Amino acid sequence: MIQYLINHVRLQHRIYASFIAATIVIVAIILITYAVFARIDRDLRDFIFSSKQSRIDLQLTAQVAELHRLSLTFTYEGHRSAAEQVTHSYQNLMQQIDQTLQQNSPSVKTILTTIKHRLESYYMAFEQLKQQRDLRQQLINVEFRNNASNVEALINQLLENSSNSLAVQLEIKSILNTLLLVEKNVFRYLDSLDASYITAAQHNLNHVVDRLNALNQTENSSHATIHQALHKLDQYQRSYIKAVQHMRGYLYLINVVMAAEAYEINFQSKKLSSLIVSEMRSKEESIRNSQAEALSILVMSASLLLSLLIVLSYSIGQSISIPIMRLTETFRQLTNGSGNAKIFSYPVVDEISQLSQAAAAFRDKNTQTEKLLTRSIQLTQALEKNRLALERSNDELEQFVYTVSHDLKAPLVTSMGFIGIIRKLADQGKYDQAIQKLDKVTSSIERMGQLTSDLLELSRIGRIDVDMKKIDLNILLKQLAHSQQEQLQSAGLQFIVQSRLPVIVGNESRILQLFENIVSNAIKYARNPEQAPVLEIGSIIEQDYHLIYCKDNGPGIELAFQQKVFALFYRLDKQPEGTGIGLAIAKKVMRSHGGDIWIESTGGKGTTFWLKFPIVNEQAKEAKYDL
Amino acid sequence: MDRRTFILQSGTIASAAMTSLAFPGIAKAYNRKPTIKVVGTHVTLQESIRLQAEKDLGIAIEFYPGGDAEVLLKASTDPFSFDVYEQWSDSIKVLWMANAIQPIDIRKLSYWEEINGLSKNGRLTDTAPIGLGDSPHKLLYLQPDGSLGSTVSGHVSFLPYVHNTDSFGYNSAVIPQAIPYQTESWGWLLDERYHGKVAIVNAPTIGIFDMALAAQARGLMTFNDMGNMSREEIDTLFDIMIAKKRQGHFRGVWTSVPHSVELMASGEVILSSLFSPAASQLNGMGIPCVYAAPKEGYRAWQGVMCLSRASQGERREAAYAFMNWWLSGWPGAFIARQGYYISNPQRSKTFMSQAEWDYWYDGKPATSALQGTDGNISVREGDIRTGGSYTKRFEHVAIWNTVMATYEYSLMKWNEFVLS
Amino acid sequence: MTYEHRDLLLIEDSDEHAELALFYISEYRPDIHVIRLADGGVAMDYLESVSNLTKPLPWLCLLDLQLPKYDGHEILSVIKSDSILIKMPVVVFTTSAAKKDISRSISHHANSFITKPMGADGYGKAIHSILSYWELNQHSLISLG
Repeated sequence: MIQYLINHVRLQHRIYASFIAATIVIVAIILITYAVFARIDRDLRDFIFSSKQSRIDLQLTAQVAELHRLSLTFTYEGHRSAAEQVTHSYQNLMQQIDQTLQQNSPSVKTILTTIKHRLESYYMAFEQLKQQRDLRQQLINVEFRNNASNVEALINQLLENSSNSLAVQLEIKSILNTLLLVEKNVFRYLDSLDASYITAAQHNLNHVVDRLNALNQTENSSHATIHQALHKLDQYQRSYIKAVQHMRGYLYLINVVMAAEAYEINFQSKKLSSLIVSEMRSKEESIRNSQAEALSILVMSASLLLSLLIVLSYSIGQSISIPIMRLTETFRQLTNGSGNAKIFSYPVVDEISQLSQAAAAFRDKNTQTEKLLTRSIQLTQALEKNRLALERSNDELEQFVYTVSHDLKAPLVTSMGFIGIIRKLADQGKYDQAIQKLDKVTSSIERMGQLTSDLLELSRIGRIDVDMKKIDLNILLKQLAHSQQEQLQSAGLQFIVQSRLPVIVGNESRILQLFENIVSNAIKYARNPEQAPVLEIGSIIEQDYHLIYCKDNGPGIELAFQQKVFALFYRLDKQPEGTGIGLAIAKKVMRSHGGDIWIESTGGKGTTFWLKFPIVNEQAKEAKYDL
Repeated sequence: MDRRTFILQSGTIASAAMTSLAFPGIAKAYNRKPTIKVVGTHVTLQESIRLQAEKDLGIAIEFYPGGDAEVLLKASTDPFSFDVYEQWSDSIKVLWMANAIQPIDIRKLSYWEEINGLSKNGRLTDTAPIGLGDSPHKLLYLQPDGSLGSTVSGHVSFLPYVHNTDSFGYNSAVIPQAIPYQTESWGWLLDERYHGKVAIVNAPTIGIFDMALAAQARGLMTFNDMGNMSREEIDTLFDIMIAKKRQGHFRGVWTSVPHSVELMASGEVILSSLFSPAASQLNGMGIPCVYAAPKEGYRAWQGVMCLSRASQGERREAAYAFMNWWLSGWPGAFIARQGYYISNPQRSKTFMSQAEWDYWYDGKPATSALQGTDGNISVREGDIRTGGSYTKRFEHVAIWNTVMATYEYSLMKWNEFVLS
Repeated sequence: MTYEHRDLLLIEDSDEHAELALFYISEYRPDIHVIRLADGGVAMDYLESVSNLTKPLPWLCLLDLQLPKYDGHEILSVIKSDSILIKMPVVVFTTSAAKKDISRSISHHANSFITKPMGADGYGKAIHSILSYWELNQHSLISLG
């Protein structure tokens, strides 16, 4: 992923992406939190609502009880205001139920709907009750009374018409009394609701009818009135029977129909209440569950999102920091001048890739600088080498000049000094002595000539001797022995050359001069009071060099002088023969052949000159010359 | 299974009562054919019956079914609202007193002689006891003094036709099935074991007897005459009932057959006074409902057909024809398939299969599955009607549905009971 | 005028130069006893015997620089680092006129640095001057007792 980001997404976009991702995650967490809490809040509201509703049975029961009480009041007392209150309470209840219906669970709704229907039935029954009660009132108050008075009036009329017979009059009065009993019994019924009064009233009425019929037989004159009375009696009877039936009707309604409805409402309310309570329990459980669930969802989703964010921001961060760290490392190396610092390439064109390009440019410059520096160091080294060589050469030259000036002045001083003496002797007239002294002057000048030629020889070494070739030392030394035979014999020096000497590369005349100097040195100094002087030349191989030894049995050279003897004009004693240049020449020759010369000697036991020549392969390398 | 469904449905009482007070344009229904208006309950005012009657008689018949109290009110206060009134014998007293009906001339009743002794003498067999209360025969004949009595005369107040015995039903999955006429008892209605799961029909003229039979069976009280309770007896009975109800013994009262079915089916109620169609229906639903044959006897009812005082001339003739038609066989067979009995069963027998007769009347196992009037199988092969044969059932009548003199008082006590 | 016995240490490898010096010394002050030492090694031996008091401390030392075995600078540093020998004035008498030799000799506490003259009369005059100068110098009072 990190690699993908580095390779495919621009730096800026990566940074934006991390911000956007963070924002999205935060917003998501906020939204989830909101949703979770909204849900819990909703559940809680539901729960609170339910808890408010849980005692709905008490409210409803109380209200229904009141409703029924009002209905009963109206039924038995006939108070209009009670009926109005019933209507009012009913409407109130319906309104409450409708409101409650809007926000409840299906099972609660079902019960509420049942309650509602029950209440509607109840109220319809009540409407019916009102109607029937009104009808009964109408019947009793108007029809019944009218009929009663009509019948009474007719019977009174009958009484007036039939005044001729006392018996008849008594009979009519009796009928009238019986008739009044009817009325009385009906009202007794209405008061007591005891049906036996109606039976009695009925009996009374039948009695009246029977007696009127009987009277009709006897009283011919009153036929019409009796007939009329009978007819009215029938109406009279009908009116109270109707009243009774209506009354029974509405009593049935209130006591049976409406009571059952009211009871059912109460029962359903209780059921509703327990349902709500049980729903509350399950809601409580579900709230608890959903809270736990919500919380775990919240925690899980938040941690998931956060870990996603962490991974994402880590990736993006790494995708930003890795190239930057790499670049930092690269630049650190680059500032240290590295020319091979590792530079990663990035395919996406962004700041990182531009920096990488810059680093690459930097690296190229470093490489160039490095090259230049190397070159500069090389040049400086070469320059230093040359300078040192020059210095050395200058020193040598100075030394040379100094030595030359000193040693060349010495014969001059000598000759001039003796000339002064000669002059003085001549002035004193001591001519013999003066002439004697002339020899001194002559030898001094001769010596100067020798010095001059030796110096010339020294100065030639390394400057003119470019003619390098293979030299077989066996042959060279054989020739040398031959040419020096005379001197060797006169000095009595035994010259031993070991066989199998190496072939070296060098300038033949110089090498020869070298060995001549060694031999002449030996002749000069190798004097042994006990034995005949011997000079032995041999060779050994050590590492890349041939080491040639020239060993005499002379007095040897003390350690203190072993270096000095190679200096120009240095002499170990004041032998007249030496100029002090021979060993200086030898040193210079060896140096010019890439080798060296040194002395190994223990006082009194002879001197060994060691000559070191580099071993040269078949293809003779060109000897390097120091200036 | 639409038998006697709305027998006491209160909602219907109310709605139908509104229209009952002013029948809409009944007179206008007159045309060539004589038209009769029949007011009654859903038990007998069935459309199949009306159509069959119209077809058989060539007259127009209008049915005005309603609840018990409603139709009684209508009939007793407005004789012009009907020609024929079909209800129960317990409404006869009211109608007669209200002068709403006219005596029926026996000579005009074609099948009078075939009508069995139950309604004429109060019992089917000579040895059977006569049920308490207003046994139909006590209200049958018109007496010379204009009252009704059992003394035979030429006129009757009603034509007896459909009748049945009622008891209670219980869920045999909960209450172990007991032995009919021996261990099954009205006393169960007050049995502590069924606390909270008992229901009673919400009809004082019926329910009061169920409770009275129960109280007596449990030895809680006795009655001088259960069919004619005094106010004191009523007070004692309701004291018992109300106390029981306050203890939570009763789930409640039911106001219609579907309501009773619903209560039993839901398990809220395991024991309830029931009408037989409810028991059939519950069994059809898979609820093992046993319709009890209480050892104390049944509460019986007698269907009556009355002639309106206002019905005269052609309409009265048509009404007579309709009443005669009811006993002509087909309707009896039809109603038998709904579990009801007819007063002249032999004439109906020819309209029934042997299997039907055996099952419905003879108390024998059904030799084949039997169809109800709706065409569905209502009786499975091998089923036996609880309570036994027609005769056996009507030999065990404890009491007849009766409107007592204390009716109004019982209403008020009923209110107290229901709401306690 | 009585002449004290005076030893002059002539350290000179060149026989010719030594002869020249002896000639003029004997001409000018025949009483001075010249002890000529021909190379560095002999000189060192002699000086050592002076140092260990087996030989008397010379009055003056003429010291050539170019010598076999040990050169004049080495001998000078030995003399000037020895508590006995230091009392002996050392006149560096050499053919060299190189600054290097002069500064080195002075820093090694040479009492004089005289270049051997080239002219015919120069050598005699130089010897004469040296001897006259050191004759005037009173150093012998402490060095010779």
